[in-house]
Amino acid sequence: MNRNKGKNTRTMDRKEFIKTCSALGLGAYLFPSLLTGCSPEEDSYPEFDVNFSGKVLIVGAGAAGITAGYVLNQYGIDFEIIEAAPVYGGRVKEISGFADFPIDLGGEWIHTDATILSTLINDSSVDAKIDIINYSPETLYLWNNNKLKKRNFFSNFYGELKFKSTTWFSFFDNYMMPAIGNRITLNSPVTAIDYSTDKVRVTNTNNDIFEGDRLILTVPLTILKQNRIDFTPALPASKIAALDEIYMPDGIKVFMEFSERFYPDITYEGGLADVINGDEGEKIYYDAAFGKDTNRNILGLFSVGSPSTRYTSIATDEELVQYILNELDEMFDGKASRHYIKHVTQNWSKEPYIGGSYTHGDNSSAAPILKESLDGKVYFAGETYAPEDYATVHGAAQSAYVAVEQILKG
Amino acid sequence: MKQLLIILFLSAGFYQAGAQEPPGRPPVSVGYFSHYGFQPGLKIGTMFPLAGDTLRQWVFSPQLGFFTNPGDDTNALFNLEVGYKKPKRGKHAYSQWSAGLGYLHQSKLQSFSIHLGNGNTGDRQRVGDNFLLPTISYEYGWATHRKISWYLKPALGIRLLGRNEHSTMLLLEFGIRL
Repeated sequence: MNRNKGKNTRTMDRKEFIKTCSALGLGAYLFPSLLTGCSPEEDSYPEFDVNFSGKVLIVGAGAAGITAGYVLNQYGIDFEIIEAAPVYGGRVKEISGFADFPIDLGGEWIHTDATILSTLINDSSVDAKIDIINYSPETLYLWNNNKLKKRNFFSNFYGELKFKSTTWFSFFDNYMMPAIGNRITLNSPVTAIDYSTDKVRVTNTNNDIFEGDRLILTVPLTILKQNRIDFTPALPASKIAALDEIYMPDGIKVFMEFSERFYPDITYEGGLADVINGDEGEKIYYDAAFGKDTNRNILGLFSVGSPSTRYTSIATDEELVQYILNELDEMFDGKASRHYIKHVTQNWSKEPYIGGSYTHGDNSSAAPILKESLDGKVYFAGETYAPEDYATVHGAAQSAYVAVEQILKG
Repeated sequence: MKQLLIILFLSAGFYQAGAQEPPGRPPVSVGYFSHYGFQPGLKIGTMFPLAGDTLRQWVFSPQLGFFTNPGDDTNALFNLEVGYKKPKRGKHAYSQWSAGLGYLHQSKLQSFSIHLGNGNTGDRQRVGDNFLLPTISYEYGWATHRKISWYLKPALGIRLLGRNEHSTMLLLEFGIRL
């Protein structure tokens, strides 16, 4: 398909902001336009060669699993999705009703050009628009050594995109799920995958057996690292070694409503050097209502990696929110407790079939090995295996296209 | 950027013809003007002597500028500066410290839509904001002709009185004065 795309250029997003500055040092702050200008994007996926006609099993119904099913359905290939949790979506998840706009409890930002949404749908007959926020904060503070410091100067280098009145979850739910929803088996945690014969056999906790010709495995990295699936034959030693090179640390999101707004658009924890060297994780408080059509004051806490463990390890929700309110009171002179209305928590570390945030670590050497199929029968997809932007929702979905293309190639 | 440079040099050619006019006409400056050096724009200005001799003088300079952060914001600036100009390393180079007060109008992209079928963007919603922009700047210039000089001018400013809190700006200008 040859389509005329209208690109929306932008400044660095949070991941680029941290990754690029980390790679290039402070000088990179001066080059956001040049760096984002290099961001490669596919306009649409080409028609894949189809030399395959069997059945594909997909384990996991997150962004990658849903996309894999959606693409296979476009090609008329038989498939079945097996999901461990009682709901689909994986790390794309929304809550509606907390505010007067839906809130992403999982993947939230669009870490690339917005045309990726059209690219992923890959269907010119779809006649629908999605509103996108130019997420370009004006006020940026640093909370460092128990002092709140205004650093609005740096907000000029930071920008990315978000859904305005929808979410990542509703993107998949509205535009992919209707075609494939009847092919998902929920509450079906997979315990074993046998690819020793021509067929691939999958066993779940109820000892139900699913059989297919190929399999796309989209479970989070933690599931593989914790050996929660028995492989027959066992995973190759090279793959196990590659799994050891990367990790999926803790992750949490908390949203709080306040009767007054007392916070800036973004508050980073740490000094500028900590923000730049964000390899161990990050923590931000951010205005979750930024650019939304609302008068509600919704503050989000997003934290992954080592800064998040202090939150994810707190036993109860009540203790967690009190801990956060105390922290915010310290930052904002007691205003958080005074104006607190309610909150909602999403502790990804405690999700039984997720167990953390997203892939961290230098996966440059691990990724090529992890992306290799098992005997041409078991393929891998998910944010860990993204062709370019790993640790992102769109990267997970793109990896599904790669896996499907390989299977269809035969 | 290439287009901007072409405009700059065409403008220089145009004004070079004007530079042959009798002395007394105020000089005109045309320059690449940018936020941080990489959010590109253009600035034109002129300069009037307030006091001093031909080498050391107090000058008054009104300017019009434009710069953009592609896909995010576009900015128009009307700026008035008072500066002190003095020769540096001989009469072919000069330096100038200036203080300025500008009015900055910014139009910022708030949201847009993406069409899922064809990927086209549309429905762009923009919001305007206005600021006072006091600046201090240092200009280094050198003459390559008796009526042509080139200059490099970094400036530090603070955006004030907008909808949000104040924010520091680093502006960079490189151009020709005729």
